Amino acid sequence: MHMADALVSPAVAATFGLGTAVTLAAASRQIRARADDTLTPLMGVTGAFVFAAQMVNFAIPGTGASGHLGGGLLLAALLGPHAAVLVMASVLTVQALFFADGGLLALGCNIWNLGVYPCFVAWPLVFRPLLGRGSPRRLLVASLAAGVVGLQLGAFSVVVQAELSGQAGLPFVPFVLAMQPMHLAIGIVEGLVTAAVLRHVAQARPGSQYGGLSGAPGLGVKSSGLAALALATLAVGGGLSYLASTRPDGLEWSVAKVGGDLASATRAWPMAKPWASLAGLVGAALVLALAMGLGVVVRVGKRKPAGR
Amino acid sequence: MSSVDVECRDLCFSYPDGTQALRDISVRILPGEAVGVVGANGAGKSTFLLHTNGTLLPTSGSVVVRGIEVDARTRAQARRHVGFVFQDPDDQLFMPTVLEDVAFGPANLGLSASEAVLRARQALSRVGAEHLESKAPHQLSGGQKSAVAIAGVLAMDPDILVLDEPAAYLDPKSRRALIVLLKTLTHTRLIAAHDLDLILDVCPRCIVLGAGRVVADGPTREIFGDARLLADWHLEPPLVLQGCPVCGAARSRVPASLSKIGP
Amino acid sequence: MSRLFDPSAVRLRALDELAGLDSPVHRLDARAKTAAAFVLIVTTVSFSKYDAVSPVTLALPLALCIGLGGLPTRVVAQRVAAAVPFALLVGAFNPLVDRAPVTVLPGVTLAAGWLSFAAVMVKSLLTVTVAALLIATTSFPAICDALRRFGLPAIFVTQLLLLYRYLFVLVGQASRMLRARQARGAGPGRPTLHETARLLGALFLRSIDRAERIHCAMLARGYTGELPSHGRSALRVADALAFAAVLLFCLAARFVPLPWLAGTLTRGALP
Repeated sequence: MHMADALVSPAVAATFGLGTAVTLAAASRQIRARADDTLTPLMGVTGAFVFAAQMVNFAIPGTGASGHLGGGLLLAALLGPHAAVLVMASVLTVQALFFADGGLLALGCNIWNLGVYPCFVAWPLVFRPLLGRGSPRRLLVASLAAGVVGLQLGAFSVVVQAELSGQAGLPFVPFVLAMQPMHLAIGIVEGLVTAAVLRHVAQARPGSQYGGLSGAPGLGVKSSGLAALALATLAVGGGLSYLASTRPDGLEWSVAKVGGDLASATRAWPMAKPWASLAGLVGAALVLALAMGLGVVVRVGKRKPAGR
Repeated sequence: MSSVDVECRDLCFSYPDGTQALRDISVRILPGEAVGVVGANGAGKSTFLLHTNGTLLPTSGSVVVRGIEVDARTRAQARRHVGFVFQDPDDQLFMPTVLEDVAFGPANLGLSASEAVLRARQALSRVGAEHLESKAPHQLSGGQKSAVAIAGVLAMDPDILVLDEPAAYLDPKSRRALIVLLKTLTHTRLIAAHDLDLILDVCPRCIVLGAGRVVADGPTREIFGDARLLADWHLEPPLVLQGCPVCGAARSRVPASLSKIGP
Repeated sequence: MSRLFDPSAVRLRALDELAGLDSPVHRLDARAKTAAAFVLIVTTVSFSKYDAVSPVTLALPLALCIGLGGLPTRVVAQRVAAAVPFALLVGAFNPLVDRAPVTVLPGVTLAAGWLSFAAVMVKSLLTVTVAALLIATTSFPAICDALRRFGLPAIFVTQLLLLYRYLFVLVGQASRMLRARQARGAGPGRPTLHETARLLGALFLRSIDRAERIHCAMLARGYTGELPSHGRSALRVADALAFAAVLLFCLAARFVPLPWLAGTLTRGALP
């Protein structure tokens, strides 16, 4: 469910990047205001926990598939939504830098889909109300519902982001029809694992602030306002992206609007589609060869680097 | 300024769930002493040590460090005198690089960034780890982490060093380096360990804890020579005092009168 | 989304250790390199949906970086190769859905979806390479420091640093717990949901305990709530020049179709 760099246009990336940045700034401010210095090491180690937990692939009962914990809902239940979204964002950032799924450009989208929805929508609006007094049955119901809602929102978001970017292979409706049911199963699994871990923690540490039953602070008025701002940013940015995406090549259109000379200069190139030609393919091969040669020559030509 | 570095008077401590961990501990540690703290698991060694820097506060009784009675208000001040080295160096090395971690303490003492770095470099060379300064903690071996953790504490220039199981994660070579270092330091040293050979090597005085009480406090050689006492409190004499497994002869460095211990 | 357990942690370490090498690239300021990486990625992604050819131009500065940086190509190549399956997943639907015929070569007509698929592959591999090169030439703490100076909230930067610090510890613990489970006769299959919940629950409790110990260790050395940040060096001319060079190259590459030019010239030169 990660957005990849290849699926996202710069406009959509910027929009969701901005929305995410605003949300993270608001969350940071909330944490700062709490002035709880135990939170710093707790968030750090919990982030490492989520990172490690995501590497544990378990068998999904009934199917042959495997799954792993997402963690947004679990974190929100254990640390509160502000700390949770910061922790999820940090995990996704490290993954974007070091792993192959979900790129750096799509990071804003991914934090939004996998962090903001579970922490600021699923947890406060679904999990908490359903949790009640926190009996095991209520815990399971709350986790399942919140897990499903969070994942459904995230999956739908991916479709919207890809379509707005104009880079998706599938048109809107088939894409949605493919994504939603698939993520229903994933949402159920997320809910199950979250509930099970919360129960385990509550049993081992009865009365502690963990376990989603008490202590985790709510949203607060100020951050709701900032969340509204973030959503407004998305709406405006999304609209602009949509306009850009109706052109086959959004950037050229934007450039033409902004800098007439440059645009007309590029349109002067005889081949508007350099990719659909023999010259293009041959040239690409040549450039690659040049690149490899360059890499070798530069390395051989200089001293061997120190430090081994 | 008192002439006692650490003094505990009738120190008692119970955990929030009611378990009493320490009972009526009264101990005085003089400046420059190297004192070992030994005992079985659960005897209260770590709990006792954590009172010296105010991480835990007494349920009753008192802990006085360099004239400062340690309570919730004064413990920040007490920590300027006590350098605590925790059992797992991974818990202690939390900054991105070794140099930043060792400079953490001095920076918190109010030194400027450049002064803190200078102190850090001095401490690192004291423990022989100056070549590690730009490494990340997760790239270090167990012995290196341990050395850096000690440097982090030395950099704060404390009067008292408290070490909780310092050799727990060390290979023999690193352990030997640690012993050599501990013997050359002139700070007051309080060391809790299961490694009785280390205690025998480094600490002339030793306190034995059993079920939260002080059951022995005296010269290490005498105490370690008393096999009955050690056995009563679920301890064994250090290997160097145990008999030779091949020929059965007693092999020890203590006076002959105390060597009738047997394998 | 699923990845093998241990190998990726090992790969992380391999790239991370490369950052400790010394070279002209390594010595550049982290801010210049981070900003350059950003520009490269934005440029790569900004090419047309169907253009698999023009982005190849960006391989030039990347190759230069690998050479000047003294980076072992095998490690970088492994990292990039790991990205291939994910890139395939992203573009897989395209040939099926986008069937508008396009004449690629004289006599060869393909569905447009194949072109966009190729473009997805090329762009994915390029962006993954950029990220890998950034890490291989700039330590993670230096990248975080650059981000902090670019305006990221200090709390978030601290979070990134602590996460990175304890990531290896936790991954190691989880790995050992899984191995212990196998050693007790659980068999080679994946753990069940139930087992996983137990494992994660236990791992989480150990994490909380560790966090408390770390907090005690912080307090023992005078922690007052702020982790001191190391002031790093100022920007030099070399750093600004390097960034400017990358920026100009990207602008040029975006609007001048170099591969097509090279191909046309070659064809012109051939009899």
